[in-house]
Order: sequence, then structure tokens, then C-alpha cells
Amino acid sequence: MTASILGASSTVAPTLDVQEATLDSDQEIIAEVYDITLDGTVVKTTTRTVTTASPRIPVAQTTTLQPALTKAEPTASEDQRVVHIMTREEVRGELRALEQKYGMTSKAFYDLWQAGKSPVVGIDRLRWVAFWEAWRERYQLPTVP
Amino acid sequence: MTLIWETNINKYSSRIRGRFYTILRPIVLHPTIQVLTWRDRTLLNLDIIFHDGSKLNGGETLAAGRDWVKLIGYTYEYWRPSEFFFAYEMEGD
Repeated sequence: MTASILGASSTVAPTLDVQEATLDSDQEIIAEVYDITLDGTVVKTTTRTVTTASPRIPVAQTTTLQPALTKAEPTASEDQRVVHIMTREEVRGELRALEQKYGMTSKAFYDLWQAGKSPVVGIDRLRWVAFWEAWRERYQLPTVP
Repeated sequence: MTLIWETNINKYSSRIRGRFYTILRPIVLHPTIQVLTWRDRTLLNLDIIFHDGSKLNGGETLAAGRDWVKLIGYTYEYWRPSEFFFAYEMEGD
């Protein structure tokens, strides 16, 4: 016996093409089709086809879901959603805070780090290296000989 | 180094941003995500405060080329109000 499974809903375009499967007698096949509309709503369509000695009984059920796939309601302002590009002053402030916290200059720390003898571990080490390299190569004015 | 799926820093930082502003939105109280770029390197700096008072301090150092991005180092530290502390890191060159 050959059964056809159609994935479609009346409101959105089908995402599942017509498929064919060969079934033995007295079997049941269930197809779950998920369609996403333009507004982000997920529509679940379940099509059940029962094959018995009796004629096929198609049972279709359409459920509208609101899962995480739908577009989330924004809570932060658009400004807050933008990744902040650190300014020169912010980098300098971070460097000063780290120098005060560990009692050494950024250059002294960086030299130790390059020698594999960093006295700082964890997130501070990663940030301090990045802030110092950025400061030295991007923000710091060239030294007048 | 770990090659990242995204082909430029902006796409990658957008994915990280979306993780905290959308996917984890119900549990995130105040996310701060900063970017610092120098040479071919970028630091992605994360300070996330959650509703339960815990916080995640993280940083990722990325290297970028014309159509690729590589993760060359990262550190994440997670603190809970109970002083529970968890950290993992990978330091690259």
C-alpha cells in the first residue's frame, strides 16, 4: 500500500514536499510539519493517516505554538542592544584600575606576562594584556625621541 | 586557535549579543558587552549581571582576517552571591 504525506497549512506555504512511503497493512503514519510565518509564528500541523482494512481516515490537527522561535519582545532600548566600542578614556580608566589593584605598571605586567611569569591570573590577565596592547598600539601617542 | 563559524567580527559579536539580549533575556538583569579592536585583534568584553545576583565576567580575544575569525583566547568567570566561583579559560598566543 502506498501512502502520501502532505505537509501544508492553509495560512502559510508548505515546507514539506510530497513524500511517499510504502506501508504494510494496518499501520499508522504521523507527520508533523512546522511552518514559520513571516511574523515569526510557528504553526505546527499534525497529519495522521491510519491505514487499516477500512478506508483511510485522515485526522488533521493544527496548533499554533508560541515557542522561543518567535520574535522576542525587546526589553532593552536600541542603544543598549548595540555592542559598545570602548573609547580611549575607558581603556585608560581600565588600565589605571588594574595598575592600582595589582600595584604595578601596565608595562611591568606586560613584560612579565611575555616572559611567562604573569603574577595575574584569570579575566584580569586577559583584559590587561588586551588593554595594554590596544593602548600601546592604538591610543598612546608616539614617544618623541 | 579555534576557527569560528562567522566570517567577520561583527557577525560574531552580534551572535554573542543576541545570546544575552534575547536567548538568556529572562535571567539576565544587566548585560554589558564591549568591543576593543587593535591591529588584527579584537577583545570582546562581557560583564553580565543576572537576576539572582550572580555575575559572569568574560573576555574573548579574537583574530580576524578577510573572511575568517579565530578565537585565540578566552576567560570566563562566574560568581554567585554565595561566593561560589567557577572559571575556565584558554590562553592563546
